Amino acid sequence: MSHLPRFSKLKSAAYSYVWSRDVEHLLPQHYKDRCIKFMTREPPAVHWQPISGRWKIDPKSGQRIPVQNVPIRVIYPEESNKGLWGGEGIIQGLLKKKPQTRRLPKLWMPYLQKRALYSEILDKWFAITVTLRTLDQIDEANGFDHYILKTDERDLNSKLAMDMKREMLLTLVRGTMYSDDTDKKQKIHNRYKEYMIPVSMFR
Amino acid sequence: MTPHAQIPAAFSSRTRLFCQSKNAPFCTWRLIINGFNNLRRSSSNCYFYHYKRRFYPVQLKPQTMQSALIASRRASASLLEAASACVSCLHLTQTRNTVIVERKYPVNLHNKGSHPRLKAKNYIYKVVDYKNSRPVPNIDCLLTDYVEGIGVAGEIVNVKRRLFRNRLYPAGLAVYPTEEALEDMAEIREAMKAEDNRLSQYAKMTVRQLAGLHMRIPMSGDNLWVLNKTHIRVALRKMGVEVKEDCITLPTEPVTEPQEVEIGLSINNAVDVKVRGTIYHIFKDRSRNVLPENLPKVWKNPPVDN
Repeated sequence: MSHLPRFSKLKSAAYSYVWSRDVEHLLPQHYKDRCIKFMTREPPAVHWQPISGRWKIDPKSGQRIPVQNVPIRVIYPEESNKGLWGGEGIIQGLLKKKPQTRRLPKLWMPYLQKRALYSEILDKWFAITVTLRTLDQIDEANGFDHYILKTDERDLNSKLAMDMKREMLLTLVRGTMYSDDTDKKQKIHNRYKEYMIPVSMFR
Repeated sequence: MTPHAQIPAAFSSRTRLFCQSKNAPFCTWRLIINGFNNLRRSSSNCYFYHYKRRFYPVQLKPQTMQSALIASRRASASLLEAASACVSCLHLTQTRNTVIVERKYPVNLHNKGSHPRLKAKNYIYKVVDYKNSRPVPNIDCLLTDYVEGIGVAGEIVNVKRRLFRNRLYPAGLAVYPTEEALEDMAEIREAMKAEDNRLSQYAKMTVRQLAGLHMRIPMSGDNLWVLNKTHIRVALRKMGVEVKEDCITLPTEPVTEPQEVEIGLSINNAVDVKVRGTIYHIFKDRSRNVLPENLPKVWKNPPVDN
């Protein structure tokens, strides 16, 4: 029996955290906090535009009606965990061009590209499937490492990203990067030290 | 073993095929027609088979060939029709984009704390925007090295985002202009400000272009002359290059005859370029004018070794 809030189908993610009551006492508190934060956080509105404000005027009647933003249902297939889709996913919906015509099924797919991305901390190049939205976010964050470390888990929405985050943080804490070049090592340490968390958080 | 033996029984009884040798034509796919007599009535009796699986390519007699062609056309037309019909009804053409959609029929209001109740019509969407089809704004980046046509090291330039992503950043020629990166490049940036006669990207491009120039220097064949700076300036102007006479350095020994010369040009008082040229005679009587043979092309020659 799961002991966590579940995703509604309108707010799903690429993966979810579930555990039973039997094992709950085995899990560390910081891990549980992180999981609950992930499960309860509002997903970013990637494929729809939320209306701001509490009220809006109905154009037909001129009456004031409350605003209730209902998200679009987005599907995240297993492949989204192997790439960085930047919150994008597949929209499965219906299309009705005219009132007289039937509604017909329609899929909107993300535009995926395989790109070479460089991680400074790991000093490696990765061939990762990304969307253009991801590339924009990387530019906004001033680099791939900053993007991975800075962005919230809910917005990353990928197991691959979390694996990389773990690798990067472990490398930073252990200081195993650039073992030959001490200057470079110090530089990288200073650049990313704000993201560092204690080693006990990894267990 | 005859090829007929390989034909499945269902087809062979009514199929009139004229099978040829094993070393048959290069076609890998071909049409089997089951019962030519029925062809005029229906075009559904056509089958495509791979020659390796079933039997060898065949050649049809001219008469049967014609009917087979008609049948194949009909078959392909019907297939195409079916395919196009399927595509239109299933919407198989998918847009690969960051699409922003909106509900055509908005969801009914729900109580606070409860989930919205969605009906099938709430999944009918209309596309509001395709984000990827909008032009992407340029990006500011800090160059770490000289890039031809873009800028010199330490300069912050505004370039196309795809250029930065695909070429400059992977090659290490540019970085994001963070405070840290600016501090690292502070020395170069200050030197860039202080130096008045520094070479800009365009100056560097000019240097490269001039190094590949081979001048034509026409001189009088009727009068005596000694080559001076004005002659060079005029010759360069004819090539489309305007220089001041102060920038020109002549060869050390005076030149009075047609020959190959090397002339120095100083760009922004910072760099000296050696430019080659050929001096030849021209006469008042134009019929005597002869261009020297085997002249190199004017532009894009390999540069002179300094």
